[in-house]
Amino acid sequence: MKARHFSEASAPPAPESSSALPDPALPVTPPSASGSPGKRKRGLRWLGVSGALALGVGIVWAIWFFWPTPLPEPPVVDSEESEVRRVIQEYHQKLVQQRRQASAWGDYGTILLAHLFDREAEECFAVASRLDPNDPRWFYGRALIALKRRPQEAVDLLRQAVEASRRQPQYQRVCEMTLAEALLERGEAEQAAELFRKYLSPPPGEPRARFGLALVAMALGHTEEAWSHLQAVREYPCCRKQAHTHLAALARTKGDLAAARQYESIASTADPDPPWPDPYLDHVVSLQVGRRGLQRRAGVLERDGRFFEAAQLYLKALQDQRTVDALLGAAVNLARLHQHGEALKLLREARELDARDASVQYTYALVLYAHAEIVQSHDPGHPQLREWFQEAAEAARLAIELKPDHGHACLFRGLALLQLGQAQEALVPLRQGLAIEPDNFELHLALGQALVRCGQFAEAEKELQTAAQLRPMDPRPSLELQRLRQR
Amino acid sequence: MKCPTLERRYLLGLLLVGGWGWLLGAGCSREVGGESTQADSQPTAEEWFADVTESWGIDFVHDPGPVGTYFMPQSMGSGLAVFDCDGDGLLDLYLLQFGGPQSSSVNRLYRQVQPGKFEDITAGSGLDVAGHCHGVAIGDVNNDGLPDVLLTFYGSVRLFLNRGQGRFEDVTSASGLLNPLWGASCAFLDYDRDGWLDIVVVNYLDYDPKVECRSPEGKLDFCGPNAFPPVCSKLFHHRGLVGGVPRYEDVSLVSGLGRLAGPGLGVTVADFDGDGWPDIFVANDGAPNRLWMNQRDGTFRDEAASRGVALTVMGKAYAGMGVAIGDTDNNGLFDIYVTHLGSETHTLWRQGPRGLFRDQTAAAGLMQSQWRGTGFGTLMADFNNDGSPDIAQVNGRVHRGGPAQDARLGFWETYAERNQLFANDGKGKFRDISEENPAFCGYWNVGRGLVAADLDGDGGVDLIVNAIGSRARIFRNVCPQRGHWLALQVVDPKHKREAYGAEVRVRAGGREWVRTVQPAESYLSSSSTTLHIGLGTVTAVDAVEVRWPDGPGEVERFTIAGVDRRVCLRRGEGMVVSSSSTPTPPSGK
Repeated sequence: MKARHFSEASAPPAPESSSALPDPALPVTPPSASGSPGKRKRGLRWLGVSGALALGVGIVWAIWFFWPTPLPEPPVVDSEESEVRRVIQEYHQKLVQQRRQASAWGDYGTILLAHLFDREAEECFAVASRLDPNDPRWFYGRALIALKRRPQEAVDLLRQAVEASRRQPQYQRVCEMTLAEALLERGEAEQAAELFRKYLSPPPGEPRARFGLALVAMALGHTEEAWSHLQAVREYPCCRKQAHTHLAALARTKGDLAAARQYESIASTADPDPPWPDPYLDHVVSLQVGRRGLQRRAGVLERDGRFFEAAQLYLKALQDQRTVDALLGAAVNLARLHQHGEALKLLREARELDARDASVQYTYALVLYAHAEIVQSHDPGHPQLREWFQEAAEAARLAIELKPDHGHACLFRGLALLQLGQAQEALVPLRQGLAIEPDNFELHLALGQALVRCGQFAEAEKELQTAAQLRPMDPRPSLELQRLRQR
Repeated sequence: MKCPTLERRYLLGLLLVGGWGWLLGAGCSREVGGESTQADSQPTAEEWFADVTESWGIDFVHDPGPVGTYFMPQSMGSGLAVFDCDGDGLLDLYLLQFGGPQSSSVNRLYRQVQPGKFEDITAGSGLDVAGHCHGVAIGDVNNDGLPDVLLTFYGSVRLFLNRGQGRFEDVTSASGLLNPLWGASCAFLDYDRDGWLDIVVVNYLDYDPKVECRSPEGKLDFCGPNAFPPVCSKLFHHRGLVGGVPRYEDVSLVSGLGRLAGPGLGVTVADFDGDGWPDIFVANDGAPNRLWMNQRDGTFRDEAASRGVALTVMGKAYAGMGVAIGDTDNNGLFDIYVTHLGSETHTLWRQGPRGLFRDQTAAAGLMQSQWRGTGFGTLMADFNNDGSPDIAQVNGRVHRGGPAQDARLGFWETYAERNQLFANDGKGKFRDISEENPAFCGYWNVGRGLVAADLDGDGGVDLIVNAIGSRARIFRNVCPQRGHWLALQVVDPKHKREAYGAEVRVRAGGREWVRTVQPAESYLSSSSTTLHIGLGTVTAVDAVEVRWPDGPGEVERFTIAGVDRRVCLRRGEGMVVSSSSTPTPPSGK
């Protein structure tokens, strides 16, 4: 078709017939809404073009959406952490087989997060949250990572996690609490308070929310409200230390010095608060393997006094690999169970593995001394006693040589020398120990006893009195002082 | 002519395309605006500092010792001190090394021979010490008018008496000082107000070099504080001189400092409750801070919890490293700023009412920084002399994985970060001006020690940095349009030294500035004892009052004519002002 000039195109087409007038015999057709056939053709053409464009866009989108995301390479893990490498490979393999599944990406990210591969985990969570925006875990995981370096982004991610958690309510609370805390830290107290208040009922309310409201109240200067919330949660394990710290501050503000000191005293001696229960994070931590996983699990058991299980954990690890850490861990827990024979056997192996490890030498000295002391209490004439105390003294000496600021090694060397009747020689490590640990009751007591035996009574009395002040309920310093005064 | 139909369509299409283009462009610019840093949206300030290291003659390169062993103390770095070692009125520099006892790298002493020119006088000074040297404190321990030097090491502490003319003598053994622990920051203070300077040494961890720590990839890395038990700080009481050498007694246990472990890194000393007795603030790494309140009977009580500085507003014990004190909101009370890890926020605790603190980090605008870093050395000083203290800090990671590239730092590149500068708006709100200060903030380093001093006496506070494995740097204050200023040296002629612990209040133009004479601040470092006060537009000082730190603790008022000058305030030359009675003239005049 010949291209037409604009002016030609705009002019109505010339009639086909030569006559300018319509034929009266032909019916008169009224002008249609679509106008002339030419216009209709152009309209169809535009429709076709638009349709093609839309189809193209749709194809591009579908390709983008459905094209499999390139798989990340597993991070390089040192050969010493074979268990970590194995578990990461396992999850990576699952991802390879299910690369379009959000859960595969999310689970892989989770295992990476468990082993502190934050950057890699974040990439996986980003894909998982794109594939399944209704699962709050992936937004939450990203937020936890972002909280460390990009707090504003973390807040945005937490909001998305909260939104998604409406469909998975088991995560809703932790998402909202974490968001509230992030908002509070950024100074957005009112928004934080709104979130915390949701969890005040049923009474007494969620402890984390109450503690959060206490912090909000403190930030806003509402001391009475803060006081009330803190009193409600002060014995809750996850905030005990913090709550007492804040109560001490509030008490001082109110002018109640006695209460301030009391709360302060509790706060300073309390153990660090464990983290709040978090269904997602607790799951993440439970997936930890390798050295970190072993140390974490053993630490929890030891903290709870479950020494047998802790020992079993280390003994099981020893089946895979004989390491000094596992030998020490098993030996210490066995010693706590008074299984000194087994413990010493493991410690001797540890000494063979690494004689230059101060911890190994010290632990050997400690367990051997404890063993000898127990035997001595039943059988003071046991033929091996002297040999054991000598060996303990020597092991402690090695520990001090390897680590001169080892206060406990100084103590056991001093104690062992005292047992061997070498009180004068014992003074040196005991004084050295006190320079390192001036608040160590046992060192003051031992030094006092050594000074008595050396005839230095004035200094002995001073040390024994210090020991008595450090531990008023322990009768030993008083008994020693009585004996001293009777001389 | 009537517009042809197709033309209309084309025009409409053009309009549409143009419209979309505009919208897209606006969207992009909105998107860029949304990502923009504070610097983009604020008018740029002119640079405050210029690197003058080379021209001023400082050629010190920090030796951290052999790399690759991941010996944890190595990652904590070394400090520096600025003091007048030879009494010529010019400030000198002392920079610490960490090469180890067998290393050829020794601490270096640079004497300022004229403003802005230094010469190395290390050789034969007695301060040419090799070792794992962390911290330094400066103070005149024998009251002979010559400032002495205390050094902390990984595993020891050493005291050097200034014998004059740039010569120092190690008197550690004779002094009775013994600290076989991992010593970090330290400070001199007169805690019993007897006129003799006592010592506080902040100790860190019971570290075992055999313990290996690894990154998530399983690669060896420096351990963190959680891997080891904390240890206690130590307090040494000055028992007087024996043969001209001070004798110190370890009173850690009886004073109370020895009963609560750290792990401590930073320290500063000031009278926080206004009772005239110095108190000690210790920044702990991953544990609640300590605020040791002087009980005035030789003992201290930790009241950090009840006074609000133990934890952040969120109840967290962050990794405390460097400490700075200053009156950020001009209420006449010292606030405390502590630097933390890059994954945490550095915390500002504001004091008010007296003796009570609140975490005001967010309200002070310190959450809005252009980048985050693991902060170490930090201090507050009025760099632009507008009357309000600003904050400077040096950063550097403790674990691998930093973003620096091509920084030519070798092994340390993965730990390098950029420093930061925060400007006080005069109302206690801070703005991050790091981007606008490339000299101080634009380069990568593993920053540790930081001190401030007006080295060249031009009224601008300069900065000096000691970074791990790098060249030490001097940043001269070149802030344009600086306000008026005063530099005050506060001296007690009876003790022949600066009056450590003296509290100074300057009143001018309806405002009051408060300072304390205490060079220990920042991290492992000792700044100048001269008090620098930025006065803004004020051109006349109404009064300067000094509360002396010992004896009856009288307050003396001094009259100062003019501004933009250095003034020496000598005890006894002012007007004694008691709390309720009329002022009395100084005796003997």
